This record gives sequence, structure tokens and C-alpha cells, in this order.
Amino acid sequence: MSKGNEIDDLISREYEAGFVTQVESDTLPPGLNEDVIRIISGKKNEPEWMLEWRLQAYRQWQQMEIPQWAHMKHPEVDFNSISYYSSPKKNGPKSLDEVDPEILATFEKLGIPLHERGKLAGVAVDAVFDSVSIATTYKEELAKAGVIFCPISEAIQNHPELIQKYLGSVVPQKDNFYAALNSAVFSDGSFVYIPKNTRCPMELSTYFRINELNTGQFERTLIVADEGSYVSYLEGCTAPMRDENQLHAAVVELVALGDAQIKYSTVQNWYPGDAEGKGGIYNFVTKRGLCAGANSKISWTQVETGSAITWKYPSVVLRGDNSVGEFYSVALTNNFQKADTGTKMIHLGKNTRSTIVSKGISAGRSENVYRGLVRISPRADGARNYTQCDSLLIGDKCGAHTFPYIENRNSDSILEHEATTSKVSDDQLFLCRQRGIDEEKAVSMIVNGFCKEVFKELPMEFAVEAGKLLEVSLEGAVG
Amino acid sequence: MISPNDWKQQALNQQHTRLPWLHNAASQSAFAAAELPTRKTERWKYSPITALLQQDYLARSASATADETCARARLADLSNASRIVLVNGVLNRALSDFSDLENQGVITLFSMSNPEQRELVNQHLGTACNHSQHLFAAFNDSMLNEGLLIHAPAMQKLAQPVYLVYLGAPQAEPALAQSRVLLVAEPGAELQLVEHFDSCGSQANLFHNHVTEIVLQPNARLRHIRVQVEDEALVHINGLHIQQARDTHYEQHGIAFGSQLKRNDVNVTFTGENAHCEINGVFLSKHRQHIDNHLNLEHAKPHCTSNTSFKGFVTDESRAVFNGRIHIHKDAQKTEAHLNNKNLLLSKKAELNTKPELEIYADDVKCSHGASIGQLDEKSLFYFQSRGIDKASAEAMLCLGFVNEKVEQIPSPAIQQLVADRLAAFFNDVDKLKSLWGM
Repeated sequence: MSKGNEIDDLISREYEAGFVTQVESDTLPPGLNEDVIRIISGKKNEPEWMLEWRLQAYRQWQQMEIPQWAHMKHPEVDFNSISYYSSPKKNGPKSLDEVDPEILATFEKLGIPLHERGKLAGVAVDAVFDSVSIATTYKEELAKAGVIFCPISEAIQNHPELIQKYLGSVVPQKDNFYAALNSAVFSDGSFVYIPKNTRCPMELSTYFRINELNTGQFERTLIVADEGSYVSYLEGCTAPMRDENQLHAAVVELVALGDAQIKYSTVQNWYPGDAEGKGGIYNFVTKRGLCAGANSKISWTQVETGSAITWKYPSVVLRGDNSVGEFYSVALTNNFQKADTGTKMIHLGKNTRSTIVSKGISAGRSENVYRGLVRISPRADGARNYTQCDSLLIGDKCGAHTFPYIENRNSDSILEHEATTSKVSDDQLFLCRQRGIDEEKAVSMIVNGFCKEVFKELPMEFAVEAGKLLEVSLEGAVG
Repeated sequence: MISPNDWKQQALNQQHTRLPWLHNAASQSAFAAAELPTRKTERWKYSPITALLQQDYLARSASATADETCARARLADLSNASRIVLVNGVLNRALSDFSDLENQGVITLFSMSNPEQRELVNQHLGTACNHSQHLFAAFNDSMLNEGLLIHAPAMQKLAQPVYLVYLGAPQAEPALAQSRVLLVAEPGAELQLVEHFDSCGSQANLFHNHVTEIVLQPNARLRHIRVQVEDEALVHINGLHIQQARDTHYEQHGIAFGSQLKRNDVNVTFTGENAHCEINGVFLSKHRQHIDNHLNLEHAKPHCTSNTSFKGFVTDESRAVFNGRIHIHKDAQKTEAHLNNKNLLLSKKAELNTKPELEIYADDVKCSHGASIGQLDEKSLFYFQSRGIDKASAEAMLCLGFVNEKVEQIPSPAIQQLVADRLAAFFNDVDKLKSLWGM
């Protein structure tokens, strides 16, 4: 097979999760104003303080301007053509038996069985369909350990004290344009609270699915790990194939108190648009964790293969002394995808440590950007950072960029940054072929090897999925 | 404090001084259209220009008189070089010695140029430097009334180095000094250029805005040494713009001290294949100095290589910035570009911001960048101490070793000597290092 053909093969790969589920839905007409926010809040039967909080965010959002600094161009998002709330008609099921079988089938098809007998062993799942949470599995088992894992709308009703204390404490309403928008209109998402000295008995997971046309998905996730606790959380997402761009503007906040650990893993596979760059999800997400207490640890791992445009920087604010922040990322872009992703590590406490490992793979006509910030504040004595960003280019029409900002105001700290960019080397390919491995398999091996450092950070179930995703994506790709 | 708008208006009012025979006045419109940088301007994010606006530098041009004894003491002992000394941007014949090259037409002042030379200037001035992107270079060009043309003839190797000395002399009142150099190396030419920025006395009232443009035509080779060791009160903005045609070779060795505000832009553009660029530098800042190094490598053509290595030494309450960008254009295949920046941050109150950037649009390339910030190595210190050398001396030696790695690469013993003397003076009032130099 000639090189050109192989690259074409890669480009013409199918998006497997691109089907639409036919369910009757209750969708607000497009447009955004204070009334829409009141309706959303009303539908969720929220207390007055929550509505106020949303309205405050909305008013701040109106004062803000669409950020323009990113290394990308895209048609402007018309915020009045988006519907801010959509839920399947048969809302509010008490148990799984009442959930629309169409929706259950959808999640089944995506590999997320919600039925008792088919449940993923050892993983509790919260499934979010457009704007609402459909089902949460393993609730009883988790309750026994004192772990709260529920849709955030439920948490606002049942645990208002926790929500009031932590919501917006890491990502304030006016943090940025899309975070403000999310604060105003977020409809659902997951809430997790791990009590003191508790190790969450199973992996927690949320699966997001955009189904309805012309909607935006604005979910909000809040995870609080109390002193000495541990939780591992997984997030996955897909959307149907459509010609229109859809907006996904989520906010994720993590709070780790003293000695607590949070491990947050994402496999992002939103619809990336077709080979001509038509359609796909705009994924503008704010993710930030706060290591509030001493010896706490937050670890982000992400595999980004989807979305027309990805724009996210999972960050860690290292406030507690001896706290640790980690960021492991694989971002793969193809066709006309654009990914601008990276992390921020803000070192405030003493002896804080952070590690950043980012692997970018660009193919087709895509653009892949690592953009990161490491900031050492004057009182962060003994801070340590290690950063490594590698890019792999497949094809001569794509771009790979690295923009690391390193700001150091402390002379008792050590920072290292390294980055490389190259293509799959002819020598490596030659070596594999010499040993009887065909070219396609060789490229796949080399790319998998390239990403290995990140994959080994993923929980088992996700590592398998991520490996498969990359393999499908790179079928036939020979640089 | 002068408002940015007033500053700009003042600058615009001086545009009439531009030499009438200079053609391309795009810089004037570029300057008129540009805004003075603020903290939100990405390229000036870490370098506020408050120092520039604090005094009315644009009110007058700096006077060109310097104390001759002091000036002579500053010069490096480059006996065989053609020496051109500019005092506050104005040629000082008494201190200079370049009649050979002047007679050969290799070095000419813009004001004394013949029609052919004027044509050459008009052909090349502003081609290596993109005035719409470099506000202060546009400002420099917009009121250009004097400059220096270095024209290296084709297929010739200049035996003697060209030694340019920019000397600052003290001013009673705030004043502006501007200087501009255009170097055109014809095909196959080979030469060595030494740029030495220095001062006699305090520069508290001086703003020096300098631009060097270098155009290397096919097969030309240039070895460039840059020494910036001026008084720390100076406000200095320096632009170096290099254009490399096919098969050219450019090599730079530089050292720069910080000052009240010092900004160094180095911009390399490859316009032909198989060119090579090598940049080695070290910057040092102490007290409350500020130094900003902005490096930009435009790999626009295939088969070019670049290698950039910078070291930073930052102490006291000073602030240093390093921004190194490698931009590989589409189709610039087989490019090999490497950049690294290693820094020593020695004081609690010092600040260092470094940002190595890679922007790559071609796939068959090998690129890397690296940056590190650290302190003196505990193990090395221990090694010294275990051999009876006290801690303070050990620290001083390690610092000097760190900086010297770059100094020793300077391909001129006379300049190495000059730099060694200046380094001794520089380190002498850094607390940690006194013991070694405070003799």
C-alpha cells in the first residue's frame, strides 16, 4: 500500500458512537436569558440560593468577552441558537426499570450496561443523557461505605451544606467565559463525597452522552475527598454524528483535603466531525483540582481522541504542603480536529511536587497544541516540577505546537522542561519490518509505545479502551 | 510618568527627521498603527515598559561627547580589528579606526553614502526586520537619520573583524540615543562582527534603542559576538534581525547584563535551503535589574538547522525572561532545530519566567526544546567543601563555572578577557560571590 493510501485510510476511519437515539425529549427553545435560567432551576426544584448563584454567574458572564487567545480559528458560537436544557420525556425514574428502554439500549451499545446483571464489575456508573442524569449504579454499596455518589441536582437537594461549601470554591463563577456560562446554566453532572479516612470501595464513573440536536451540554462535576480518603474517578463521553457543531462546556472541580488522594481519568471521545471538518463537538472545559490539605494528591489522566475543538487544561492548585499534582495526557487529532490542551500547576505550598507528561499525536490536517503553565510562588520552598511533552506527526499537513509557560519566583525549587517533536522514524519502522512485523502493525506498536507512559496511569478498564481507540485511529497510518 | 499616548505622539512628531533619500517608509505607518505594549501584550507579558515612560526620554537626542580616557579604557584589545565607536549613537572619529574598510567602501555611514550604496540600503533596509511586528524597530526606522552600512563584497573573506562599540555617555537630562546597523554579506562573503555595548558613567538618563539587520546572501558566513555590559541604570531595547539565504552560516556568541529595562529581540528567518544558525548566549541579572530575551527562529525553508543554547543567572531582586520560539513552516521538511535554556535562580526575591515554544507545521523534522531552573548542586558544593574549600568560595566558583561555559566559547581571546573583567566587576557586589572577587 502506498503511503498516501494509508494516510487516507486513517483519515477515513469511522466514528463508532455516532448514532442517534430516538426518544421523545423535553427541550427548551434555543436562547439564553434570566428566564431560561429560572426555568432550568425550577425544573430541578432548586432552592433559592442556588438560583441566585446561577443568576450571579449569568450577570458576570454577560460582562465577559469570548476568549480569542487560543491557537485556533472557529466560527463564532451563537449562544442564542443553543438550547440550554434537554431531557428525555420520561423523566425522573425511580429505578432502572422505569428508565426508557431506548436509553438503556443506547448506553448498552456504547458499552456501558446499566442493568443489574450486566453492570461493569467494580465500577459505579452515573449515566448522563443530554441534560439529565439517567441512572446511577451501585448506590447502595457506596452508601454503606458512606460515599455519596449522585447526580449534582440530587446533591443540591440532599446535601446543600456540602454544595454551598464547595461549589465554585475551585473554579469561581467568573473564572472564565465558559465557566461562567456553565455556572449559570449547568443542568446535571455528578457529585462525589468521600468521608474521612475512607477508601472508596470501587471506581466511580460518569458517562456523558449528547443526543439531542442543537443542544449544549453543560455538566458540572464536584468531587470532595475528605481527610485521608481515596477515590478513583473515570469519565467517558460520546455524541452522535451531526453536521452542526455542538457545544460542550463543562466544569469539573476537585477538592482534596489533608492526606486525601483523587485520581481522575478521562477518555474523551466526543464526535470529532467528518473528514471535511464538518460538525463535531466544541469541547470547552474547565477542570481544576485543589490540593487544599497537606500531603494531598490529585492526578489527572486524559486520553483525548474526540471533539472538533478541544480546549481544556486540567489543573492543580497545590496549596497544601507536600501536596502532589500529576498530569498525564495523550491527545490524538485527525482530519480537521484541533486540540489545545495542557495543564497548570500552581505551586503555593512548601515541598510541593508536580509531574507533567503530555503526548500529542497529530494526523491529517489537524492541529495539536500543548499549552501549560508551571508557577512557583515565593513561599513554595522545595517545589519540584518535571515536564515532558512529546509530539508525533503523521502526515505533512498537520501541526504540533508546544507553549509551556514557566514562572519561577522561588530560589529553592527545581524545574525541568523537555519537549521533542518528530515523526515515526524510518529507522524504527525498518527495525520492526526487518523482524517480520508489517508496517501497519509496526506503526501501531510505535505509537502505543510512545503513549505507554500515560496509559500505564489509566485504570485497567480504561487502559484497554484507550489502547483500542488509538489502534482504530491509526489503522493504516504510516508516517 | 508619561502616558503611552503622549509618548507615541512625541515619537510620531519626530518622523520628519528621517533621511529623505530612504524609500520604504512602511515603518512610519507600522509605528503609527501600533499600540505600546501593555501587560496583556503576549510578547511583553513579563516586561512592563514603565521604566521607559517614567522619564521624558524623547524630549531630546543624547549628546555625543564622551570622556576619552574612560572610553579608551572600555575598549577591548582587538588590535587587528576595524573599530567603529558610536557615542550615544553618533560616530566618534577620534576613538574609531576603520579608514581601511571605509576607503574600500565596506563600512559607510548612511549620511556619507554614494548613490550605489544608497540603492543597496534602500534595497535591504527593513527586509530582515518585520516592522509591523517589532514596534521599537519601527520607531527606530520611522525617524532614521543616520545608520551604518556594512557591505561585505562577494567571495571575499574579511581578514580583520569589524568591531562596533556602542558607548553610552552620562546625560544631564533624559535623552534618546538611537542606532542602526545594516549588514549585507554578498554571496560567498565571510566576516566576523563584534558588537560591544558599554557605557562610561551612569546611564540613568538614557534610553538606547538599537536595531541591527543582517542579510546573508547565498553561501555567506558570519561569526557574530555580542557583548552587552552597560551600566545598570540604562533603558535599552535591542533588535537583531537576521535573514539567511541558501547555504549560509551564522554563528552568534553573546553575553548580556541586565539593566533597569533591557529587551533583546533576536529574530532569524531562513529564506533558502541548507542554512545553519547557531546561537549561544548567557544573560545575568542582579539588584533590581530586568532582562528580557526574546528569540524567534523562522524555519521557512527545508533542510535548515538551528541550534540555540542560552544560560541564565538571576539573583537578588532581579527579574529575567527567556522566550525562545521555533516556528517550522509548512513544507520546511528535514529541519533540525534544538533549543535549550538552563537557569540558575539564586535568590528568594528573584524571578525567572521562561517559555520555550515549538510551532510545527511539517512532519519530517527533528525538534526539541528544554528548559530548567535550579540552584547550585548540593553534591558539587559538598565535593568542594570536602576538599577544604569554604562554602562561599565553592558557591562563587560554581557560579562562575556555570557562566564560563558560554564565555569560553567566545571565539576571541581579547573579548574573553574583556568579558572576564566585566564578570568580576558584576559578581563583586553579589553577596554570595564577594568572597572570590572581593579581594
